[in-house]
Amino acid sequence: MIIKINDMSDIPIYQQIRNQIVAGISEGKLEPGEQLPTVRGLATEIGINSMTVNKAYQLLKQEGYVYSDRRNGVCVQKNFIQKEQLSKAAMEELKCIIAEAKIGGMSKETFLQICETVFEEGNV
Amino acid sequence: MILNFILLLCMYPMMLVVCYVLYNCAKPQNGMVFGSKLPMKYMGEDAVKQVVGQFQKEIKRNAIIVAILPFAAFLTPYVSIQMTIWMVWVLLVIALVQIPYIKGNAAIKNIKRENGWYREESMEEYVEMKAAGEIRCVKTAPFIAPMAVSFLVAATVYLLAFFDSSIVKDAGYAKGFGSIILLFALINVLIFVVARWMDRQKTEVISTKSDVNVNYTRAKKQIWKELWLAAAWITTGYILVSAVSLLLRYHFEMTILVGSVIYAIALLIPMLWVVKKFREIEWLYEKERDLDPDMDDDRHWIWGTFYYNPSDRHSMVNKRVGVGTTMNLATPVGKGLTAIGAVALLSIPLMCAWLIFEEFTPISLSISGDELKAEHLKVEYELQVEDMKEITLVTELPEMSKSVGTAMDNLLKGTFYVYNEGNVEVFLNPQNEVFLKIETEEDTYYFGGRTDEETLAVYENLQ
Repeated sequence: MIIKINDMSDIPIYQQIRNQIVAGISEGKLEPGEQLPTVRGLATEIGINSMTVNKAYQLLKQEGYVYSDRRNGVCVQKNFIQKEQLSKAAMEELKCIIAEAKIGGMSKETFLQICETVFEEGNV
Repeated sequence: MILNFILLLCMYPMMLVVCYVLYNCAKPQNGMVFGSKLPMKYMGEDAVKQVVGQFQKEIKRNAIIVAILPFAAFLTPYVSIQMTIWMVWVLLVIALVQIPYIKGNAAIKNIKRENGWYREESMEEYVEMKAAGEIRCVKTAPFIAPMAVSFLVAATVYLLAFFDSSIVKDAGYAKGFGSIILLFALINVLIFVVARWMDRQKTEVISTKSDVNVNYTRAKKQIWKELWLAAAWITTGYILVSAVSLLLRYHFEMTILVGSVIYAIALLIPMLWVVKKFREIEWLYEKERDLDPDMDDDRHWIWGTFYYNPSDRHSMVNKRVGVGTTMNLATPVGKGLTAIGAVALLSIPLMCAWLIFEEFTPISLSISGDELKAEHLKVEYELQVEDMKEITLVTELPEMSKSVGTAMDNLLKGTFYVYNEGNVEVFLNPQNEVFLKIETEEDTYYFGGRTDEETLAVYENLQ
């Protein structure tokens, strides 16, 4: 799987890594149980401090997307907790996106259509 | 004359490689021409073809000029002038061959600007997650053997000489050169360090398919590994031959001279092999490239050669043209190495000027008060007359080899090794016929004046 890191972005690099790994899982680019690169390996590859990658992995662990295995390192969760509702943070973010769309004059139908397309494609 | 032949054999092939590599940069490669990104659909445009034609014409003309120039060194008997011609030639090769490329790069950028072909630069860096930090081809084990052999050989020579073993024909001589061979063995350590460093380069992302990226990077790293390993063994071979020749004192100087030429040519062969292999890989993976066309990072490549990108944390990146890597001049490592490179380049004309002064400034031997002064550019030796135990007039110099100092046709200056005498201090013009041999408690000196008359006058004065 290929991830994109943007140095000029307002989003911190650890968040970019986290977001793209979550997107990779959602799109099926990362299989359940698949091993993620080592913290050191990924940090060398991107050219950043190991602590940044470690922070991204810790966040993913807290959110339940990955788990640590003594033998295999960090792996993608095999069974995700099936929840029919968004987290509080995600709900806040969604509210903000909807507000922006409303201000921009987007109709409810168009917005829902975009949501459906994104949901189907798995693009985040 | 020998110096000219050695330099010709060692440096001429390098010039041919540089010309060959730059000549090929006019051909579209990796979505680039003259190190400037250009989509394939624009490659056939008349304006682009015109720039390519102009470049090929200029590079051919300049290649002929640089091919002829070094032969001027054969026309002068002065070593300093010969060296100056060769050094200036090296700088000219860099400049004359590089200028058409820089002009081509600037012209393509202009065409892109005029026609609005510039694409928005992607600020995103692609990172391959698959096998991140794991594509490593350089293992320590294969490099241990050449490093161990070279150190063992160099240390053996030194120790045999140190303990005056009967195997060594000339212990003092071998001791001096043994330490040079020992230093030479360090080249293998350097090769290993560079090989490991290059092996740590990030995975190149050329495709959306991870397997393609991983295989492409692994193939290239494998070739680099082969090159470094070959270089280590070639260096070991050179050390081995030098050591055997030194121990047996079997035409040592000639072996070193011929060996150096063979060594340079032997290193060139795997380098050419690498260029060929890389071209094959690029050709093989050309159709797999589906990421590059979206990116236009021309502005980070000064003259299409120097990489300056403060937002890229990698100190080493792949070259745009040719084979190998180059430094990111925006990183501290890049800045440091560039400064060292600039100092090295600037030191070339200074070194040539110093050589010319060395060769063309006459030596002088004089007595002032109770002191014998040997001057050349500065006061080189000052000997108190009372310290001199024995002063002999010598008409034939013993066979000597330089340990530290200058050895030219008209100047021998510094510490030299003389068979049966050990290290002696020498300051004379070997083209003269009369010299002084002065012995003190600690050292032996071979001195000579500007002319034989000057030497004789000093000798009479000392008597």
